[in-house]
Amino acid sequence: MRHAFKGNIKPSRVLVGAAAAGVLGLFLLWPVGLILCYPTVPAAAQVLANEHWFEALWHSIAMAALAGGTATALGLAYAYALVRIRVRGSGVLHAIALLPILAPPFVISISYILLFGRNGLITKQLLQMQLNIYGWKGLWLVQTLTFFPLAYLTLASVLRSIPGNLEQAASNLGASNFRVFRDVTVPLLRPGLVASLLLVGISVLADFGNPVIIAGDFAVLPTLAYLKVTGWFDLDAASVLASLLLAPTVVLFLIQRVWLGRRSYVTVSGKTTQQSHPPAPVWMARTARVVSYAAAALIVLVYGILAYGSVSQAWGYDYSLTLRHFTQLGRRIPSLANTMQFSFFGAVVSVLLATALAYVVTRRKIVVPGTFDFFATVPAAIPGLFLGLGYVVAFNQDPLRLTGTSLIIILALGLWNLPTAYRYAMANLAQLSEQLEHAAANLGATPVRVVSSITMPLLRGALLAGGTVTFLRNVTCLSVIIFLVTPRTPMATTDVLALVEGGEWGQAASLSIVLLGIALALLFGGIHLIRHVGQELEL
Amino acid sequence: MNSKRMVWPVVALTVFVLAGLAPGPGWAGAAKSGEVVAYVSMTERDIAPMQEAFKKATGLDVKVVVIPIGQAATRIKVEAGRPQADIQMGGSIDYYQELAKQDLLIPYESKNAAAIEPKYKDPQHRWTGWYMGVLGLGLNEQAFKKELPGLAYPASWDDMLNAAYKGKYVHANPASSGAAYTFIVGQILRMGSEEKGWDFMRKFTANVAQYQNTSPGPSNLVATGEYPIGLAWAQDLLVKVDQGYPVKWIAPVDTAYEVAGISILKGAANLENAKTFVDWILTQAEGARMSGFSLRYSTRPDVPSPKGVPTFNSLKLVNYDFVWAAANNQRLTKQFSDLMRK
Repeated sequence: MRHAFKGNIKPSRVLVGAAAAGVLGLFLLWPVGLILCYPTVPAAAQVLANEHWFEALWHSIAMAALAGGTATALGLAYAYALVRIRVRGSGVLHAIALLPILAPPFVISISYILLFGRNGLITKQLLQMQLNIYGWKGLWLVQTLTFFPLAYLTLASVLRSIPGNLEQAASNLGASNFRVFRDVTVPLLRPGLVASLLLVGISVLADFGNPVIIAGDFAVLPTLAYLKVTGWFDLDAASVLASLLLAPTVVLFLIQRVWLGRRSYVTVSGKTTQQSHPPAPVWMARTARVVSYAAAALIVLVYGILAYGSVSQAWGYDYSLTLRHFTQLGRRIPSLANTMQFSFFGAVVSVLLATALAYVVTRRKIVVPGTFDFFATVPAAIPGLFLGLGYVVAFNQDPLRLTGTSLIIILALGLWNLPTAYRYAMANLAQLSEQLEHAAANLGATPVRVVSSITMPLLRGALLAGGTVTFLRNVTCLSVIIFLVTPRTPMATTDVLALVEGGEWGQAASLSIVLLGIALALLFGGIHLIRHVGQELEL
Repeated sequence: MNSKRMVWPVVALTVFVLAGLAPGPGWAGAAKSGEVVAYVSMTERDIAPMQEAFKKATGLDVKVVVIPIGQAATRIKVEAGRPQADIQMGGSIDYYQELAKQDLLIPYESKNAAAIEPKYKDPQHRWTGWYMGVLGLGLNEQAFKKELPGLAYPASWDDMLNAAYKGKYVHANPASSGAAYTFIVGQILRMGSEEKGWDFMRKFTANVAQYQNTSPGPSNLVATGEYPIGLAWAQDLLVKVDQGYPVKWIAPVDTAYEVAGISILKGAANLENAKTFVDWILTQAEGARMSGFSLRYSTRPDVPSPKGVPTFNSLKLVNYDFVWAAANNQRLTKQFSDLMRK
């Protein structure tokens, strides 16, 4: 019997594993490999001799470290204020911190210029100072504000999972509130701090939207590579520069995996205890409160000026009201419809593939689960622009000629967001006991029945959560699709880019506001749906 | 119980997937009668009127992706003979020459191209230059008055060497901006030799506050008064005039210009419609409409110059050498980026 049972289950798992490996190989490794191997060796050598790549590499790494540090510090203060001190309006502050995550790229840089530029509303009109936002200091500020929500979300979930009894015990033993924080809370936070540093670091390394507009003459690798593609269509140089960028990103990524290991999952599924925490030291509470209110106010300003721009005659000059930019959005309906459709199916691809991979990795140590785990998370380290370019090179020939179809966009989005969906699938699947499935199998259920009646229903929350988050990431994604959209498959974010570059700022702002609204609606819809099945959406 | 509750979502999802994919736009991919597809390296403002005029003239639809010329060229290159569009239009013929060299364009000699001077056409008919954009300065009149009080508007590129402009002039990066590249070639031709040209540009770059990555970039910043003055194609600055920003365009003496091309891409799915489109773009009537709408000068001698700007013949322009410009792109761009870093 025992033997028969094993024979019953195993082939299906091997099958799932093989299918997942096939999809990963074809739609991830092949296109990325093609684009990285694009230049010939002499061409690559010439690029390295010609370009000021070393400086850009150094700038990229330094910016990742700087912004990673400040974003983590800000994220910690924010999380502390919301989770521990529970400052007034915590719910609103939480929602505000989500805005930068949902922002369509590029257009928000305009807000920064209008607020903090040479002629900025805050720097010039309010503070009467001649500040130069263009350059590394401006970029540092913008990257901190853009990416601190990642740090905040990571640290908030860690803070929530730290049981109160440890801190209470230290406090009862006579430790001052500050000592409790320093000697108990901070050590428990350490993995979260490292996770946040690495997460922000990787995101800053890969970002080109902000540096392209804000950084001025301060060259970083992604902008240098992007400009090679958009300038004199020098794919050799772009591919070499992208490979250079891949190196530090993969290093950070590997550190993340080795250092944090499986611990990161514990924070996601950690249970909060009833024991209350001792109060925070007064000065710390005050600092956290001021810092978090200030950060939230800045974000509101940045998005407020965008919203204002969408109803202004001439954004940045003539702020008299008009609805003309919104009435002109009629032409964008096909793009918006495509964005919704492709984003949805992209999320379906991510979730299905992530679930299959998580299933293989957690359920049976059949074929090197570590390898699957690695490839399910590695797309996070690939700049979207190059995944997109790789898709064009890989899928513009028979037998798999996909360029120009909706499918190629759906697949690219699906694979690119795989790590996000995978994180949710893993967090839930790791908690599910295998015993339930075994029991059903022993009672005679077929493998299909086991999955459909036991595993899937228990995973609903994870599927919905992963689906919601990937869906809304797709809606505001630009880098992946920039080379995949065609006149027959236009999408909203590429329209925004064309509008920004073409100087139609009012329309760019109004389209961005619509996109932001859609993303927010999706998020809140998702939160309610997930609550409906009895879970909470952890971002 | 659980499996029953899962049925509906699964059914709904399946239906959505099937419904979504069946009419999925572009799922069929291939040619469709009655339309032509174009990569357009122009501004958003140009698109709707052009689509309307084409529909009215021929009954055909033109579908477009608005995409800067450098990105469009990248796409055409990676799509290698199987392009997602039939036409590439707009953007300097520097790029068209390079695309032709890589065998990505189809020769087509339109009957309407006969009126255009040979220097604006590829001898092998793989591209045709159909409009000219003039390079100049965009100036925010309010910001100029405030930041540079008492200074007269510049009339030549040499005027821009005035130390008063230091930190107040915004330029573009030739690695990604056609305007900035045309500027380099223009200065070399204007000064008469590479040596003198670079000597001028060394002094000129000392005044530059920052380099934007796209050609319309400086115009956008000048419009909001972020900087009082910057590099600008006439047609890019017009977009901002149109929206009500207090900006003005100036053509310095001996300035340079670009010729923008149109080509049929190798592997075009709608070849016949693409030919119809090229024929139509090159008509006198369309040239006049576009010129009147957008401050672009048609290459057809029988189309009058746009209103509100000097006539093409009255502009003092350098004798731009397009072949030399395309051949030396990499080298000159690299040399300029060394200047930018100082």
